[in-house]
Amino acid sequence: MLRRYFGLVKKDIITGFRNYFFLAVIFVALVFVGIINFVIPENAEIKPNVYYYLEYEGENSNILGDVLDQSEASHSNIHSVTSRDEIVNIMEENFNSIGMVIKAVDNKPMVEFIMQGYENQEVVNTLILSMKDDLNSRIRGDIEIETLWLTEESYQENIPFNKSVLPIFLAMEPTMLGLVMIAAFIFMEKDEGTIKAYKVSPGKIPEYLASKITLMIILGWISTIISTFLVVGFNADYLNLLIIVTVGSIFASALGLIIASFFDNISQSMVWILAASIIFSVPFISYFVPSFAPLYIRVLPTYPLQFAIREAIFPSGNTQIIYSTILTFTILSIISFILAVFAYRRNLARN
Amino acid sequence: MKRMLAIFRRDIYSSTRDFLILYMIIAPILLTVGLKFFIPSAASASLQFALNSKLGAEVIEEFEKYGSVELYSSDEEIKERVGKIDDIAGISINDKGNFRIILEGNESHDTKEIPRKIVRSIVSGEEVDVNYKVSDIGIQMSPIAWIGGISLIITAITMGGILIGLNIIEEKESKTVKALNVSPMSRLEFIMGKSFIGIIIPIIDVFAILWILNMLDVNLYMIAVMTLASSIIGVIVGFLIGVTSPNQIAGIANMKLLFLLVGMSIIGAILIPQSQHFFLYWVPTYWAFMGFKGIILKTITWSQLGIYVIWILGLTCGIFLLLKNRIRKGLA
Repeated sequence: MLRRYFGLVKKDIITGFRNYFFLAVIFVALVFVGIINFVIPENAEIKPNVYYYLEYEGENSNILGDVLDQSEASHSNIHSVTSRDEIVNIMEENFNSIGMVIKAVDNKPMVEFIMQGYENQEVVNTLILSMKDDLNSRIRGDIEIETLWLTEESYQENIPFNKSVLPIFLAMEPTMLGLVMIAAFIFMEKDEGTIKAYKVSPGKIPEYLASKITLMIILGWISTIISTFLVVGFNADYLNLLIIVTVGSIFASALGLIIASFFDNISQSMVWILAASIIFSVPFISYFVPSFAPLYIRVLPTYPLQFAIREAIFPSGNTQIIYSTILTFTILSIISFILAVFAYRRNLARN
Repeated sequence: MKRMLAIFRRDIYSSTRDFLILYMIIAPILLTVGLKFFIPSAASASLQFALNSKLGAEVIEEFEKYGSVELYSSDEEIKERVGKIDDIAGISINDKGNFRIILEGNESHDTKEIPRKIVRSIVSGEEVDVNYKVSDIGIQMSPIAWIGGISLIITAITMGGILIGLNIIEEKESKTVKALNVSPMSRLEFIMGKSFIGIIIPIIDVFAILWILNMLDVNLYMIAVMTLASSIIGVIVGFLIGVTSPNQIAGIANMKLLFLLVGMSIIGAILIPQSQHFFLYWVPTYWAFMGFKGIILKTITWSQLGIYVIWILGLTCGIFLLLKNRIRKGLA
């Protein structure tokens, strides 16, 4: 059985090689490395840019000035401008920005927050709260609030923005590679009649599918190693990273096989496989906005996957998430593989 | 013309026989329905707090002003909740009756800082006498709605192209291209005939997407012009995939590269500051994104739209001329 499996893997690797699979995967990984290292800025912000204009010159103007100067110095997304009109013009160009004008009304400072209009009340309240707290802290000094840290305070938020995109790439490309590619492989062999020939050989369906999935895992490893090494060097936890990519690949490839089994040709199945990949990319929003995690995002397998990959690349000591993700994906992989075998047995019997 | 229509009819026939056209039209529509359900929850997204119910109604009410609050009866439950993957700050009281914040350690800046600010506002009075006012520049549509809508529009357009590409590969594999080569049909007629499907599907999808997302109050003529111009990108790319890929596997590999490029142009147009957008000028889908953005946000004029369309047509013509020989050879 093992010999037959390795024979099939060898054949699939050669087929993949002849069809430029390896070349395509390496090319995509290098393009991404180029984008991460040279195109995406290190200090880009998802948080909105804040543009402020301090017109007020009365009593307390030095306190207001100090607080704003300090904020500008410690946050790269806060910028001083010279008029209210300038703020509005910038905001019309950049949807992810807000404005702030401080002027005198009845001899008292008045802070006007200029919003885009789509922000919810909680966001507006938080802005006012932040400003009030900064001003009050400036006068009375900081009030320490007791904080209990469950693990060590980690600095994952200090990862340069461009490098923080790598886990998303790894979740999308090497791990989910099989979802799209395996269907192409299966349909090609169907058209060429390889499956029919295989059916009359002593080979079993699980070996046949496992060999295809193995090729996807190998391609995933190549893509993972190239991109991770060129972005973070030796600093990642490669062993756990490759285990995550492996179980993720098995699940994604088996799912690709299941979807493909419902259709007669690649064009039909591709529509639904692409739709599935778009749905699997929705959790990437929660990666950048971690407090936004509604249930329908949390149930998608790519949700824990991206955080587990981040933990493996930028270890913060929270290994729990790596192990629980590996366990979840192992279970998902086993279930989806068994379903894929059933689906193909049914298909071959039908044909 | 008759021969072009014959090719088009044949494509329609072969695609409807296996429900392909139906799938291509329905898939973006289903994704749009999904997006429609997603928009309200994304628009109301805010910080999350896990509060100990012992803190009392007043404190809970205060925290509710800044985000969504979950109540727990013990610190152990709060710790368990804080330890989960998403960002949530736990707030409780210690033995002395003072506030205590419980954090995992890897939370984002706001989840760590805002609870402290809320607690400080509860425990201490105001020191500086300042008035506050809130105004807006009148943009009611959430970015999730228009970015999601445009991304789905571009997906629908690209899908039209993919269908053409896969169709051509199929024709090559079943050797019908060879048969057509000896028929009186010219290559241009074949190309035009194949292109119809890549133009009609996007038009149906784009209007359906806008209707589902309640965005039909925009200038529909502009939408039609932009969709037509953009679908030419899909058509050209479809042909390129079709003729350069020796088989369907290679077609899929090429398609992945294509999606990478399309995705990059959209993400780049959103994240990169306007002053550096010239990095993206060479990608036709960048202009499609900017055009649809202008139309949906109602900030674009006809002359600007004209410039975007010229960019799209110029770039796609350029790609076509550059690879003309390749296409000819691929179809030979």
